[in-house]
Amino acid sequence: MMSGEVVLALAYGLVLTISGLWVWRRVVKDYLHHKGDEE
Amino acid sequence: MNSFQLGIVASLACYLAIGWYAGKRVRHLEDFFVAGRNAPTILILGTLVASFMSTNAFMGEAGMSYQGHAPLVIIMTCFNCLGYIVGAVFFGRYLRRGRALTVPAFFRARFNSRRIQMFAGISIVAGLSAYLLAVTWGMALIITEVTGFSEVAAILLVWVSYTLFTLYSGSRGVILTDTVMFLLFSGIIVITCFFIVDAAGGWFSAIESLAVYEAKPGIIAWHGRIGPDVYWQTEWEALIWASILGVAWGIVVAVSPWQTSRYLMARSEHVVLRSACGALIAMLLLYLITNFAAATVNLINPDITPAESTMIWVAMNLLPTLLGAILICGVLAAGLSSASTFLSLVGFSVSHDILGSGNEQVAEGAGNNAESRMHLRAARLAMLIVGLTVIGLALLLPRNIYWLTHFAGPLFASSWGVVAFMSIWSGRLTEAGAFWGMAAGFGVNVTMNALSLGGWVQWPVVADPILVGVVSSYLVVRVVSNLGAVSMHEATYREALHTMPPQERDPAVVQQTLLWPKMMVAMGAVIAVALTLFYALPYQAAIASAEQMVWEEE
Repeated sequence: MMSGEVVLALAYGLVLTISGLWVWRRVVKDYLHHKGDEE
Repeated sequence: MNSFQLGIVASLACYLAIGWYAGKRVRHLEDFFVAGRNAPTILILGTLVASFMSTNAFMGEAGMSYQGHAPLVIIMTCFNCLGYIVGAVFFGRYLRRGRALTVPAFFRARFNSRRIQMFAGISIVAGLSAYLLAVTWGMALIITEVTGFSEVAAILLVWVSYTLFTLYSGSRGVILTDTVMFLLFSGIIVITCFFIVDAAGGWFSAIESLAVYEAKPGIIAWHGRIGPDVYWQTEWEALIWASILGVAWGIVVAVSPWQTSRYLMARSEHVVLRSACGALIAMLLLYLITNFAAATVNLINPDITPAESTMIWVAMNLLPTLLGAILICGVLAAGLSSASTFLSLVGFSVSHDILGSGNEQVAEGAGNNAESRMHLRAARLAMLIVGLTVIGLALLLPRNIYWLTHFAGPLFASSWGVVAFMSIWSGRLTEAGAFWGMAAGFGVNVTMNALSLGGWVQWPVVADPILVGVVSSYLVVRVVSNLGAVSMHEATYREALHTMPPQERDPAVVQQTLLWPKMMVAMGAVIAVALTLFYALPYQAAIASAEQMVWEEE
C-alpha cells in the first residue's frame, strides 16, 4: 500500500499536471475551436 | 548604520525610485486605476503572487511549519492555488471584458445597480483597511526586531514608503514594484533554503533526521504533528482542517478584489490566463520551499521563540550578513507589495465607488483634459486620506495581527464568491438577489467571527465562517432571485460578456498561451517525481530503519 507521504508527493505534482491539461483543453475549445457564444 | 538598516533603507529607496519612474507616465484615470490596461504577463503574474504573499507567508505560516505543521500548509496550498485557475477561467477574463475601473464598478455595470457598487466598495474599505493595518504592524515588527528602531518609527517608515509610491504612481507603480518584490523574495528564499539544508547536514541527512525527530514527532509526516500537544488529535482531523481551509482560501484567491483586480490591468485575455497559470506554478514552488526550509531550521536551532520569527533568526544568525539583509528585505517586500495593493484598492473604492459618481465614462478615451486631471487629483486625495486614517489607527489601536488577517481576507469569499461566479454564469440572477446575497455572506461571516472572537462560540472546522458565509450567500441569492425577474439590461450585459472579442482568437497568440499549460504539465510531473525521490522514499527508508533498530534492541 502507498504511504501517505508518497500520496502527498504525487498529489502535489498532479495538481499542477491535471490543472495544466484542463487549461490546455479549455483554451483550445474557447479560443481555437470557438463556436459563437461560449455558453 | 548596520547592514540590516542599510539594506532596508536602500530597498525602500529603490521602490520609491521605481514608483517615481512609473508615476511620470500616469496621465489619466485608466493609467492610475488599471495601468492603462496594457500590462504584460510578467507584471500580472508578479503582482498576483506578491499581493497574495504578505509577511504572513514568511512569518505566520513559516512559524507554523517550524512548529511541525509544514505538510498541512502544503496541503492547504494544493487547494487554495487552484483558485487562480478557477478564478481566471470562470471570472477574471469576463471581468476584464467588462472594462470597468474597479471590481465594484463591474458589479454596477452588470446589474445596473449603484447600491451593489456602494456595498462592494464599502466591503473593500472595511476588509482591506483591516488587512493593511495587519500588514503594517507585521512589517513594523520585523524592522523593530532587526534594526532596534522604536515601534512608532518603524510604523512611520513602512507607512511612508508604501504610501508615497502608491499615491504618486497608482496601479502603474504598484504592479512594477510588486514584480520587483516578487523576484526579490522568490530569489532570496531559494538561496536561503540551500544554506538551511547545508547547515542541517545536507538534504538526505536532513530528511532522515526530521523523519525521526523526537522533539516534534511527525514534523514531516504527511499529516504533520498531531496529538494532545497540538490542535489536531488525529491525522484525518488534520487533513480535513487543511482541506476545508484550503478550499475556503481558494475562493478568496479566485474572487477577492486584491487578486481579481489585477486582471483589469491585463493587456489581453491571454495575459489573464497565462499569468494565472504562472501564479499557480510560482505559489506551489514558493510554499514548498519556504515551509520545508522552515521545518528544517529545527535541526539547527530547535528553540526559536516565537516560532513566527524563524526566518528572522535565519537572516540574523545563519546567513552571511549581506544575504541576511537581503532576506529581511525580501520578507519586507512581501509585506510592502500587499500593503501597496491594499492601499491603492481602498483609495480607488473611496474615490470612485463610494464618494465618486462611479461613472466609467470619465476614463473612457480620456486624455489630458481638465476633467480627467480633476478625477486623478480626487483619487490621489482620497488615497492620502485613507493612508492618514490607516497610520492613525496603526498608532492608536492595540495590535491584533492574527485576527485581522483571518477576518479580512476570507470576508470577500463569503460576500462576493457566489455573486461573482453567478454574475457570469447564471441567467436567473437578479439585482436584488446579488445585493442581498452579498449582504448575507458578509453579515454571516462577520457575525460568526465576532462570536468566535468574543469567546462565546468555538466553531468546528466543518462550520468555518468562510464556508457558512458562502452557503448562506448562495441560498439568499436563489430565494431572492426567484422572487423577481431579470431585467433587459442585466440579460443584455451578461450576453455581451460572453461575446468573445475577435482579436483574442488569433491562432499565433493562442499557441503562445498554450505554452503555459504545457509548462504546468511538465512541471507537475517533475515535482511529483522529485518529491517522491527526495522526500517520500527517503522518509520511508528512515522510518523503516528506525523501526528496525528498535526491533533489534528489543
